[in-house]
Amino acid sequence: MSDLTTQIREYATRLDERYPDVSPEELMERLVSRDSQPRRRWNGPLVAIAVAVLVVLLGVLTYLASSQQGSPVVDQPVRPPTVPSTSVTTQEGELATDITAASTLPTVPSDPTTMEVDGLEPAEVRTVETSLGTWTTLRYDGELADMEALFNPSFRPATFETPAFPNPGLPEVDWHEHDTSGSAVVGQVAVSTASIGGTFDWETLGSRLPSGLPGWIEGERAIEFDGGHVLDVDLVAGAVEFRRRDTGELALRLVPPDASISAQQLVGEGSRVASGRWEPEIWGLFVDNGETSGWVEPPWSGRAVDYVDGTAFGDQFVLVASVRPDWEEQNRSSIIRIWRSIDGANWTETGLSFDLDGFARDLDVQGDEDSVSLRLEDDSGARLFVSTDGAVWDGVGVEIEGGVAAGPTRVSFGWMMVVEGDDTSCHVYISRDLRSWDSLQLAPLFDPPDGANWGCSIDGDHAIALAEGSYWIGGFG
Amino acid sequence: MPDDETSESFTGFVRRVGPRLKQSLIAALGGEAGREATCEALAWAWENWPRLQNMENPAGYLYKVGRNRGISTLRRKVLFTDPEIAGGEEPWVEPALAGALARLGENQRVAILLIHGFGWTYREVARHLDLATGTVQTHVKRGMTKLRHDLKVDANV
Repeated sequence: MSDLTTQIREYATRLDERYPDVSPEELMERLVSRDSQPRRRWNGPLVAIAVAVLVVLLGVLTYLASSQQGSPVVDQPVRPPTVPSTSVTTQEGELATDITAASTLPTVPSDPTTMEVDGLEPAEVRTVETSLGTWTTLRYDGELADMEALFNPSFRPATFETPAFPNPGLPEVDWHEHDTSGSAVVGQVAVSTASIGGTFDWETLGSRLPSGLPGWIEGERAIEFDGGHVLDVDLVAGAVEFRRRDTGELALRLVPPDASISAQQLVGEGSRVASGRWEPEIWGLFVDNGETSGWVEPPWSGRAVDYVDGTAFGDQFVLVASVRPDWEEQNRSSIIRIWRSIDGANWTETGLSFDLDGFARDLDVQGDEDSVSLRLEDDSGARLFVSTDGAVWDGVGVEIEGGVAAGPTRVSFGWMMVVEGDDTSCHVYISRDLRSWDSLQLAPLFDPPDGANWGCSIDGDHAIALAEGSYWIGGFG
Repeated sequence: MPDDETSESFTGFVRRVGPRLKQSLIAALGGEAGREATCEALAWAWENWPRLQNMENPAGYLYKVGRNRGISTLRRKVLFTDPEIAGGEEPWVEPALAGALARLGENQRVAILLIHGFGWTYREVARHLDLATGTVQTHVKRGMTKLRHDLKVDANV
């Protein structure tokens, strides 16, 4: 078989040929045909009366709601305060943490100017002092045959590499599958090379997962078990898969019983709650609360949603959905709704909602041990919110100009976010606590020719920018 | 009724924008549904031509129109299962590719098909989908990783 990208190109070509372009003539025929069909007629007076009645009812309800003493303010659209963009923005009382002392930065390279990447020497080395340490940006000039190669770990300068997951003193685990027949709780997960790829059905799922292990949840998309080994969690090909972070080796694969259900998208990641999407508006929520597991109806069920994301933080889960009035409506705005849960099965809406300017472009929620962040993007740009309890959300006082290309993402030194400015430059935002942010420019102003690839992203602990002929890698060191 | 000049300019618009609009909607919704959504979006464009002409990114807007109408009217249709596209009895592409693409998240599938399949640039996809270029990169990167795993293709292939 030829390489994958060739296969995709062949497949797309066949699709293009099989479904020919829509010609103006065909379009006109359809429009004429449509006009000849009987259509529902606008009954002006009747609709006007109905609207008037609705307006009166809404007014009465609003008056009644506002007249009740002590009623909580819920479902009020919240706009965060914005402040002028600065390199560091703080909120009073929230920055007592000694950032420098708490940092665990990657190893400082002895001489970054010597770091070769793909045979290229740095064309430029820049350092910037930040509140988290010295940030170094390297620029390389040269052509990459495949832009994807930029994200290949082998391209990382070794001195920037995040240390391998620490498991000193642990013997190499014999990855064999434990015999977990019956309902006994498994003391440790799984596995040997001989059984990699084995499947598990839902009935025995509860006994297969290492839910009884302390420290089982290690953060987003990762599970720690047996004293230090970490598994990444992903939802692929209709199954939940657990892979060793260090080797990528498949350790456990969970397959739903109904093969016709193909979970496509993991949005509540990394712990005992996973959310799957099947066909466009059909969502399911898979829950494992340590005692029972299975698919449950998601809290946004029955609503038209554009985006859903979820995360675990502390001992809670948060789900966020961008809800639109209906699928057909093109000219109205979406609303962001938030739910939280302790057990993953029972969800409570926080009572807060955020109105968007137009439809959501993207949303991203990520949790930590003691906080959770929400990034919203709409036609007005991007906004950040932070919560420590999942119920009260504060707008973070950082104004994000341009589109957030990635993040905020949990990295070894805190959080990182990269933003593409409207001036076609790439900026990096770094934070220790999600509230105080340093901003620095990764790649300078650039005027790419039409059709040129340009962009920035995050890979591991590094920010990356790419333009035609040059690319930049930034990180601590 | 629009005059001849309007018809002429709209015809040019359809010829210029239509093919790429179709590609993107096919990537999002599958072949049949994607083409139908293209027709719906272009019909909407005709009915709202003066408004559309003043838009900064009319193709991107029509993509949203077509996608939303496609989702609402063609919901629950299986994507990418046309046996002729899959190659029939003598597959000319990996037979599992169509299913693997269908199992990707929509953004990942669209980004991969437009960039690797139809030869768009990352910037073009980002503008069309109204996303940051880096976001498109991330979708492609993660989607390709899933495809390779799903198809059991070596990472270097």
